[in-house]
Amino acid sequence: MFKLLQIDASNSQTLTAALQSAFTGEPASLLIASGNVASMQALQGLSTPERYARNWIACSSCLGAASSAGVDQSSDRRLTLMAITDPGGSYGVASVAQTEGLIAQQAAATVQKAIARAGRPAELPALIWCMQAPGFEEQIITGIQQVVGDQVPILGGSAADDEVTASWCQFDGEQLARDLLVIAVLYPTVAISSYFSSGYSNQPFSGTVTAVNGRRVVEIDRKNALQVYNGWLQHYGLPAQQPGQVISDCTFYPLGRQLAARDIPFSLLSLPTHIHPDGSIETLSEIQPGDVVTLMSGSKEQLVRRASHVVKVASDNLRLRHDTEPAAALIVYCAGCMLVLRDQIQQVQQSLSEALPDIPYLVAFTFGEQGCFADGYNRHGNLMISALLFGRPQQENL
Amino acid sequence: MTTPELWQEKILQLTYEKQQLEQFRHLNELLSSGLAAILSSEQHDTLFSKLFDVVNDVIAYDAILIVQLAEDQRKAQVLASAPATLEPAALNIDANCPLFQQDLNLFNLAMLDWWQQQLLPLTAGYQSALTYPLHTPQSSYALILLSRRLGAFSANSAAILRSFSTFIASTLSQLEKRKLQEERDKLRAQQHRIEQSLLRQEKMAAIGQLAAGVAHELNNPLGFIYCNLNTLKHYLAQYDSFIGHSLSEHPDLAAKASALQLDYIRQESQDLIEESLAGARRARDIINNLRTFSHPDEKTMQDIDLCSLLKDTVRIAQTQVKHNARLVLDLPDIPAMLHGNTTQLGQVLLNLLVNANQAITNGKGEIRLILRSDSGQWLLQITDNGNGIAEQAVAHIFEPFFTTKPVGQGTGLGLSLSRAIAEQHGGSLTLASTSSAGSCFELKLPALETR
Repeated sequence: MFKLLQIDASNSQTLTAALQSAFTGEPASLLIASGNVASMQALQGLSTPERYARNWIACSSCLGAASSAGVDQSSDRRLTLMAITDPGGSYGVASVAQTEGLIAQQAAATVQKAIARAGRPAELPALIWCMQAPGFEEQIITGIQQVVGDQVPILGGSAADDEVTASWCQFDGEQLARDLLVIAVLYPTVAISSYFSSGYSNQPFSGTVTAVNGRRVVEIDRKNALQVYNGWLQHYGLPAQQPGQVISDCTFYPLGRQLAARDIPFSLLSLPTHIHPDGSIETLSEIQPGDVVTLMSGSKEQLVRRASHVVKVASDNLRLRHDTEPAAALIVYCAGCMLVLRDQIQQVQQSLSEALPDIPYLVAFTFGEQGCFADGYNRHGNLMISALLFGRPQQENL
Repeated sequence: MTTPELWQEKILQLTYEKQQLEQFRHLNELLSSGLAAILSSEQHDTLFSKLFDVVNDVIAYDAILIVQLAEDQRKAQVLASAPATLEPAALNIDANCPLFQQDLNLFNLAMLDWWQQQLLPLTAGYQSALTYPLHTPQSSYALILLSRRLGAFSANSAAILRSFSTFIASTLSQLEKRKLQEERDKLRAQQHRIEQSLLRQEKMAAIGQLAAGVAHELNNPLGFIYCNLNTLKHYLAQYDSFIGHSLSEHPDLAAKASALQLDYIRQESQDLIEESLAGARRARDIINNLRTFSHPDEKTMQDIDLCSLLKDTVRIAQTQVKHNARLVLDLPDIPAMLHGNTTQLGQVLLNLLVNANQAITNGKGEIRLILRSDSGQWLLQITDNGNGIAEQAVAHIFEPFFTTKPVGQGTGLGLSLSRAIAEQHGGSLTLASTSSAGSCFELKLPALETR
């Protein structure tokens, strides 16, 4: 039912040849694909993608993807695909080019279209998986929930490129573009389980956001946001941040919005990407005035260990709630974290392989992660890891 | 990761898992306590209300209903619902409806054409639904939970409902079992009545044969007793004439006659003869009636005077009725002629009279029989001042084997057979009125002139 493929995507011809060899029978129900931007380009020349899968959803991953088959190098030209063949289930994909100001409406219409394509009108999907260009994820979640309510888990990741130059791309089975929102609705015949976590630590510095401009935090406690942030960093002897791109510098010291899941406090992370000349801090997720933000800290050790930790929690849930073992996994891992861990990313892959022994899994490194927290709410965050596990088909459990 | 943060995340995870386990424990408790409560429910409504309470403990809903597929699989009906505003109604859905095929978590009912066409207006105002098909050995059902909120039910709710399915199916099976038991008890009672009826019929047939034989055997001696009494009466008249004549011609015999009380003997002898003749006539009538009611040829149709038949029947019934009620006959001056079977119509009249008598329990009743001509028909009204017929029994009194009498005391066939006989004669038998002051039955039979 689940098949992981690593396919040569040097160009459309090699990609087609590899797909033809891999898919000789009925097309898969859903193909989820990821790879670096250069590899994704090969999808553009694919003449009959429907021959291999009835539904496609793909997005570019920073420096390539990782999987149970290994970790891509930035020079690799290959795509990693997770093929789901589930004739008893239903799957549908739809997409739209994102238009600022209309995102929620677009997301609502697109999820309706995906449900219609799955042939399950009005029926709540078990899961909604979305891949999109970064920038409007909160509005996308809002739009989807306007249609289906708030009881279905929404997971996925925002497309990433290698150098944060907005060259990321998405593929919906028909077109490859930089600004797509691609939504897949899944009605699988197997159980699913998911978990969404950061694993960063709270530090004793916090303030209330008092002014924002889009995704820019302008003021904290009515003071210039950069000054407040640099003041917090100073306590750790860290250099003050200057206007410009700061994504790598801030990966270990993001801002955390304080939330609570079933009485246990937890943080939803926002990664600073740019410091603007006016001292406002731009992040990869929305922070609202009134939100209490805390300085968070992470470490390489944490980032290496937490992927397998998240997968383990999701596996335990699968066993506890559905009495089944995992059969496949889709993981979205923050690209910012991956970049600071580049030398140790093999360790992350190994820990995942230990947590998912002989189980196919695909990891995309993204610029924004969507998942469902322990409190049951769908959220978009940064520096997060989102794991979706599929259970075994019923006869395999016997 | 620092130790406090590791612990915090671990606590979050354990809390999450603990809540899962608690949910399962809660579910198990509900299932066991709920099942006990449901199994102890005697009433249909209580049973469903307890079931719905148990479901509501774990899945929040605004309304709930159970739809049952009809036996012909072409329609369905609401078996139970809460709140009561969901009126039970016949639904135009068949066995192919998705409700009976698979479990559904529907986030927006307005998007579903078949739902809008087949389940409105029953579910108007509700936006989302969680449904589950249930199949028992007897029938197919669909459990439907409704919410006024869009996408109100989670996959977890659907899983809980799935885990409840056996429990709910058990409840429905319990209900079916009770219905089957009721059916079985009803059939047993019916079978008992049929057996009693057959026994009674056999007994009646034997009594009828015996009565016919006895009537035949008695008829001959009674014939010559009657004949001899008439002859004796004639002879006595001659003796009396001779004694009168002798006493007037020989006055000296007067003293002798007086000593012998001849005047008294003469008068008493006439009275004795008259009384004996009256007794013989009554015995003849009784034998004739017995022969009429045990006549083997029940298909014989003949011209009958309903007045005479009524009088004969009253005479037979009188032995039973006279200690309990007064019989009042209001008959036309002319013969009420009709074409019919004397035995069968006599049976109808006797049955109506016996029923009227049994409705009177105070020993001071009155049964009034009024026969009138009415638009080419004879209309007989039999009115009693008894206890009347219970409201719930009125609809069933003409059904075969329906009886309000204890098992063994009534066949439940009397009124149904009487109506059948009336209809075979082109007439009708109806209950005109009933109340605690008594009942009135109307028997209509075509008058001979109009046939």
